[in-house]
Amino acid sequence: MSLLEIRDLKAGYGALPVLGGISIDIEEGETAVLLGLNGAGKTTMVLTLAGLLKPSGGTITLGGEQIAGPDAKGKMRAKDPRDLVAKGVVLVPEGRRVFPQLTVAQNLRLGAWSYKKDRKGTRQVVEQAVEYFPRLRERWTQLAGTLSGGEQQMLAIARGMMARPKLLLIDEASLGLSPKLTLTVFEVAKRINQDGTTVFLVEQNAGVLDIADRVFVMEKGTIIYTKSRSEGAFDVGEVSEAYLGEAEKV
Amino acid sequence: MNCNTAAFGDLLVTGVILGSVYALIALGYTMVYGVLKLINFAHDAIFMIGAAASFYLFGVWFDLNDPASGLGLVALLVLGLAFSGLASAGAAVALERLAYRPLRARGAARLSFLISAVGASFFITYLFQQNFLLGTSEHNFGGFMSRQPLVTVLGADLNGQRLLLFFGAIAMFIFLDRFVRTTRTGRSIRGVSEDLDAARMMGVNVDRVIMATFFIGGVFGGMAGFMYALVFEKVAWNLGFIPGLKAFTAAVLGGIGNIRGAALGGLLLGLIENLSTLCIGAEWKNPIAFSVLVLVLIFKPTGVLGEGLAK
Repeated sequence: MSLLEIRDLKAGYGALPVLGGISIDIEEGETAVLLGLNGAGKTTMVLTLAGLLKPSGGTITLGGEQIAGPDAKGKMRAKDPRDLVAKGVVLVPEGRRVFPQLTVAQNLRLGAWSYKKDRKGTRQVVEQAVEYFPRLRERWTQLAGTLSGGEQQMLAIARGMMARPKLLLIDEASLGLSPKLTLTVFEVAKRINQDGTTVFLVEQNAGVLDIADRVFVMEKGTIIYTKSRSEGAFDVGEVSEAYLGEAEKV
Repeated sequence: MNCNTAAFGDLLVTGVILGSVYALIALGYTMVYGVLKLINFAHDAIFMIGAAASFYLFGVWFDLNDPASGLGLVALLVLGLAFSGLASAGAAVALERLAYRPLRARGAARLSFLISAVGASFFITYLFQQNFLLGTSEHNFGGFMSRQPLVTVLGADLNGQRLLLFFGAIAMFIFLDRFVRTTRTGRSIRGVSEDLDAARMMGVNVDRVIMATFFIGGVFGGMAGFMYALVFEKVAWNLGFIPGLKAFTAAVLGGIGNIRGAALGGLLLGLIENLSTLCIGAEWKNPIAFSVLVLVLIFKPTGVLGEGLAK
């Protein structure tokens, strides 16, 4: 049984359909990557997985439990973000979305909201989360809005880790970062994965293939390419061809 | 222009007292704006409910007319504050539940919330105008507290009512400022006001945070209503209208969404409108107060201290 099973998932905004029936599996313990161009539907996908957008069709199953799908009468039901965070599905959103007027420490503590009454547990997880990004400790009492873009991205990921995720969704972490910082962020994502969290990265930057165990390419709301590392090493040229091909032809 | 400088002390003190009322009401506007980006125009009615609740408690049910003193008076005041605060808080939470949450669940446009707010304000206000509630007449209020001046400041006599309002407002603002900065609930309120969706992603129960802000705003508005009625010795169905609008002005003046801004804006507005009567006729008080609103919106739309609850 896969950790996350998505079957024929459809979602969109009002009358505008974006996802046109996605079916993919993500195995426990792997780093999965979703590549695609702007407007392919990547963000719609993770927002739906995190419960922020209600799907219009299909099912999502987490560890055997249906978290979105039709009920007995056929009406679509989806768990809200609060339930999903408690079940271990945590989103690090596009654009970081840190709380700019709160300090680094306060941002992290808000990340631990789902088990907020466990002070000792919160302290432990803070230690673990900050270990991934030691720089955050130097910025501890600084307002998040005064951090650099790279530091904000680190804070956003660390804040996501505060929720003790089983499945960490990271939306476009590399956006607006220097190549060097992008590398750092990908390396930390890999370490988070090696420490036991399943990681699902949504990216435009094909450099992420270095840390991927499985890759999906999305175009116009459908998956057009899938490959697992067990089927052989990723060929950046081949994958790029899959998701840039269309654009290059234009 | 003929300036009446002899009245300066009196007007200064009155400005501070009225300013305290505006500040307490402004807090309700500002906190709700912080989390929902909505001007809760029904907040004037929430303020009036606080005054009405204390009128029912002391004027109708207890029917107290003789001045109390010492511990008995303290007990009555604490009871009045608690009762009016809870009555308004309950009304504010119900208002959120009935007038705003259904719109939120449907993802309604900003304008729908505003219409709902104005509608709720009229509904509550005119409900209390009905004869089975307050009716159209004014009611005398506060016979249980002596009106004798206790101290004289700058030539202005201050009785217990005015002192209670001033020091009560200070204590409430210090308490709230600490609460929002140091408690977990406070942190969640700041988080939601900064980025509601990001807070949802952290698993914060946004509906509960919104309810908490309406509750806190309601408590402040209700207690302000009680103390306002004590100072002015009257309770009426429409007593929230003008102070409500002034408090909204104060909230914008200080920086909407900003708690310290509400306190500062309230005091500033109270002082401006009262001190202006030194040289200009008292009939110009309201035009001057609302000119302040227009000038702020033109020259410093984010207010004196800037927007944002998190600050």
